[in-house]
Amino acid sequence: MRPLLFILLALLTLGGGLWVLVRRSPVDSALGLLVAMVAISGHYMMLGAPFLAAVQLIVYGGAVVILFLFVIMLLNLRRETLAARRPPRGRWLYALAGAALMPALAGLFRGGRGWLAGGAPAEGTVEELGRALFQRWVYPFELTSVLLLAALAGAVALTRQAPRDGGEA
Amino acid sequence: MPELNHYLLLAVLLFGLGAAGVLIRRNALVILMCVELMLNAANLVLVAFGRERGSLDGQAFAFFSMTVAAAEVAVGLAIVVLIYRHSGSTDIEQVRLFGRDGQEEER
Repeated sequence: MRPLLFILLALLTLGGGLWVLVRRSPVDSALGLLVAMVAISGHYMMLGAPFLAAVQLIVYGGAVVILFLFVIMLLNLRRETLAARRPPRGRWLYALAGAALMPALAGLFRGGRGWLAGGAPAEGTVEELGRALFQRWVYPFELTSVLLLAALAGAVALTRQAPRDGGEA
Repeated sequence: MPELNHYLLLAVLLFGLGAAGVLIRRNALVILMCVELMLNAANLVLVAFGRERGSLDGQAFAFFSMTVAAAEVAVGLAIVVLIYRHSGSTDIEQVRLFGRDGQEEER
């Protein structure tokens, strides 16, 4: 069962990656990226890293992909998004991909963490990782907050339109 | 039971997909997505080796890598928005900040 799950997740990962690569519409590419990210989250569960799996879902599935979609909508790429306006031919593929992830998620919520991790010490991993992050890696950890602040300020500074006279601010 | 080798193979394939996308695609947004794929392949290797060595350092590294990737996406997408404003497209072939003779274009 676990090798089967691995193969399933690997196929989803590579399929999502291929989807990003071959689809013409950037919206489709973003959705392929989402599939790949969720599948990689499943890989993290199987590798006994439940914290990283959650972070992967939240940061990549929740933030990064949405940011991509947001920018696509913001830029309003008319010519390229017209392709996505047609009824999506790949919707059954998406539905299948979502359904295929159900066993992994069900396993997570029904306490199958130890089974997913294949006997790796799943219990207490989050606590141990927290301890490692705040003891051994505390300086890099604090530096990431500076990095995120710099990225935040940088993104705002880059996209802020210089106030032109007469133009919108 | 997936072994380290399987994860390495998967990560190599995923990285290859990302690298191919960066080289083939011309849409700056899709190129950024492919960069994300490559970063994720690297994260997968970090976590897989961390489990193999029975150490949490791999997970800690992957965590930091994710943070850097998030920052990279924020700044990268801001740059894409700037490129779109500059040339009216996210096609990197149409972006020319300098003229053919290397002089900055007048705008």
